[in-house]
Amino acid sequence: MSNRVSFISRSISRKLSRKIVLLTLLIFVLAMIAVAVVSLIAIHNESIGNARGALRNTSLDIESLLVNVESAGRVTTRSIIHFNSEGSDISHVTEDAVLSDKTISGCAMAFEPHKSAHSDREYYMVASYISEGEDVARTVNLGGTDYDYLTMDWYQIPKLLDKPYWSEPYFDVITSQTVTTYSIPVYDDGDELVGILKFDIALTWLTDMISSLQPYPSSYNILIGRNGSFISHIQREKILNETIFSEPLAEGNEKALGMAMEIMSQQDGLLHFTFKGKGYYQIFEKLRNGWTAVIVCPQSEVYSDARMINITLAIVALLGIILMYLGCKKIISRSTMPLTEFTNAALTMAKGNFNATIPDVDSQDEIRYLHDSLCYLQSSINTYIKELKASLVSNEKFENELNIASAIQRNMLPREFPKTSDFDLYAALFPAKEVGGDLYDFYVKGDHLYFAIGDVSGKGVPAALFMAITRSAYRFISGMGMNMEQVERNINNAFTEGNESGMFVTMFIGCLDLKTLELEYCNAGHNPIVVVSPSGKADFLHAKANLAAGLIGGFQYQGETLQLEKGSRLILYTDGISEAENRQKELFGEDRLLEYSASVPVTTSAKDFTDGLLDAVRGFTDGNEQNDDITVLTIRV
Amino acid sequence: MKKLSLAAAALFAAIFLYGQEKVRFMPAWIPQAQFAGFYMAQEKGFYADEGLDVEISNLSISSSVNPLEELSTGNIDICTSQLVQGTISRSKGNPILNILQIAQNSSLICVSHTPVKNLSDLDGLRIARWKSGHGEHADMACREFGVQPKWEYTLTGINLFISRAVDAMIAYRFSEYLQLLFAKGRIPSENVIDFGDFGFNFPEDAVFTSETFYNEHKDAVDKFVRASIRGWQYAAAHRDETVDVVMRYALDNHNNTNHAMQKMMLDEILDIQVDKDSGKATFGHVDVESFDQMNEELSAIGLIENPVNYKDFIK
Repeated sequence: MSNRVSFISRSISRKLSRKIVLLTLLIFVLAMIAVAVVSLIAIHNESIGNARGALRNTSLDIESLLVNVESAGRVTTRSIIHFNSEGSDISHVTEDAVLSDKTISGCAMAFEPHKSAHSDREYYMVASYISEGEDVARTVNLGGTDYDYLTMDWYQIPKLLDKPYWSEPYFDVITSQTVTTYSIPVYDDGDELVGILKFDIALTWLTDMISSLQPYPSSYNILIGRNGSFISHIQREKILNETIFSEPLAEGNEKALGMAMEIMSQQDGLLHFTFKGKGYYQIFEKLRNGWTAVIVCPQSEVYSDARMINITLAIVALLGIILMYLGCKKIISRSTMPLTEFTNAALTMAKGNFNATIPDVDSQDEIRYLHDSLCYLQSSINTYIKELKASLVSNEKFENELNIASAIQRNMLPREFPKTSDFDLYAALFPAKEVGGDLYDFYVKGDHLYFAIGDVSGKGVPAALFMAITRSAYRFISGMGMNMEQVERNINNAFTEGNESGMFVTMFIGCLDLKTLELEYCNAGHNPIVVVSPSGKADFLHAKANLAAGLIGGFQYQGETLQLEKGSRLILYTDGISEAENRQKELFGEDRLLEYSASVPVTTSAKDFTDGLLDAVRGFTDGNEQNDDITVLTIRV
Repeated sequence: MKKLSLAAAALFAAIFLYGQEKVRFMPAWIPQAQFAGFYMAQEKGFYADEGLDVEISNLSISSSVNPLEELSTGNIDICTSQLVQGTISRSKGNPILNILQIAQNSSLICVSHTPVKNLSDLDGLRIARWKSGHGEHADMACREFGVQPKWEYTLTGINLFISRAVDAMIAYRFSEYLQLLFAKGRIPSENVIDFGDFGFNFPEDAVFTSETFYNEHKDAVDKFVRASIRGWQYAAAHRDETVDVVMRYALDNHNNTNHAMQKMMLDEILDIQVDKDSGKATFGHVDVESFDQMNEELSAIGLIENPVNYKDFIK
């Protein structure tokens, strides 16, 4: 039991602590979401800004390199025009260009057919280059079916566009390396196209530059040509082989295709995409030669700072909540400790120790109120117990007296039942309480059998006293030799005189002439008695309905006579028989009484008949509580 | 006994190699899925099965070598080109023979920056086309419909088109069109015009040899044709494997391409091998009537003076 009490105490503190913690947790979570969102937005903007800045710086580095080449191109163009107009060899010009700038891996002047003043070849191209690891420029003359430069992009596009052009990367068969070429249309003094001057930059210069850009540990960079080709990519096998559209087209991924098209068509921008369940940002920007530089940043790294802040916040909050939970539990547990003690005190009282100590409390709150209530309860119980004890003593005394009264009452009634050749008589009385209001009586005087049965109004001691009076009155008055109606009138008058309690008694009194079997009787408001003929026919005796004795003084009771046959049976009873009630609230009733009376052979003794009737009534009530006194008096003549 | 076995094996190998006839073969362009059947015949040993030792000479992207001319010089024995190119070359006196017609349809189209619904929309446009030939279907169509574009002859028009140095470009649906698609992501269909839709659906790729080689090595030619058809049939049935082989050839040759594009190219190539009437790949078949019409059209645009005799040319 004490375990249960401590459990109750624990559960209250735990329950309250949990509720407080949950509420606090909710507030924390909401606050954290707000903080997380704000920090995410701020850090997102800052991170993307950083990445954009890094991309811009690299773009500027690349563009600076491109601008240098473009500047070199303008200077070289003037020299080419000059030396070609003189018909001189221009190879020293192209060689100087190559040697002047280490980023320039090759320089060539390709003439329109027959436009070289120095050579009479139809296709003439002077190409200077530096092989890797050397610092000496080599020059070759090209042109013809094996090297049809007129149809090459670097030649044809600037010619058609009539302006300088940065080519897409291509594999240069002369230097056996992948290059991008800056081509400038060269015109003579007459503004006629002489040819195309070109400068090659090894692609590694640019890809190294873009690869060095890494704002985040796992970010990587991509350089995309105007034709969508990857010029630089973390997956080297994709370089120049695949385009930004390869995967979207192969997979039929319309979303990725649209994103790729946006990258190719916009000057700059920021895109988000998901790959294998991970989020990425793409920041892109167009370079001056039309290429696109892209940084791909894993979302997780962009938000890593924000995540750290949020994780720290979450840990601090969690620790705070755990501490708060433990603190709350402790405080609440201490506050509810008197409850435990009160409960123990109440349980002790429940076991019968009403003087159990109720612990005192200092507080002036609900606990104090509970304490005072318990003290009041304890005091009330003790007072009640005291009174109860006194009452029990009184009751015990009363009960003893009642038992004596009951014994006296039983002794007042004849318990010896004569059995002669003239008649056979038996009676039984079962009061509902210790003492009852039913009575029976009989005696033989000469050749006459006097008998009576009665039922006093009310129950208990008053009824018992009235019953004793009735029996005494009956014995005294009936013994004076009057007929039955006179007997009843005298009893009635005796009872009505000074009857302030208003009690009355129903009676059936009779006098049987044992010689003639003539029955004289008077019924004072009692149940009609049953007469069973020698043939076994049972019927109620039709008696005049006089009033019960004790109601109206001077009432003129009228007696009657009945000639019995030998072998007849008289059955007198009180309403405890006819109104015996079973659990279904059904009454035993007069019909069952008649039925039973007829069913018993007339030769059956009065005792057996009476016991049988009582058994039948008990069988009917089936253990249901007896509400009224039961009395039966059977006479067989 | 062991020594004897080794000697027998060595003798067998020597006889086997000695017995293989060498054939020099040149596809019309750089290694790509357009020639997948020949690569598969080589890879799967179909040529070797026929007793041929085929040497495949691949062109580089900067090369302007014409394989049909290489036949006449005797530098190679067999090559591929298109029926039109072969017919023109034959008409000009190059003694070459069509030994295997592969494609049954034309895939020549024109892709423009602006919508082109009718051939007349091409009038006045600066259009890139191959300097090495091809595009004769376009010439025939333009003549027929009185359209006069400004032709810009080039090696490959992709970057000319992308840089907008030209307004449009002639392309093969299986090649340049795919390169453009992979460069731009989408090509509006209204910007594409198909010359085949205007009645110029003359077959394209075919295998050629010189009369000399044919006469002197008739058996080797037959073997080459048989093995090549077998190679194409294998390629059609094993497309992924074929694309892997094509990619190896392409990357070895420094071609800038990718698996997805070569897969699409193989699908397109195999598609134009299917005869529209029969619904099947009918290797070696050239419709006489269509051939004669092509002769007439080529005469009309001035590319040939004398029609080529079908029976003399198609073997």
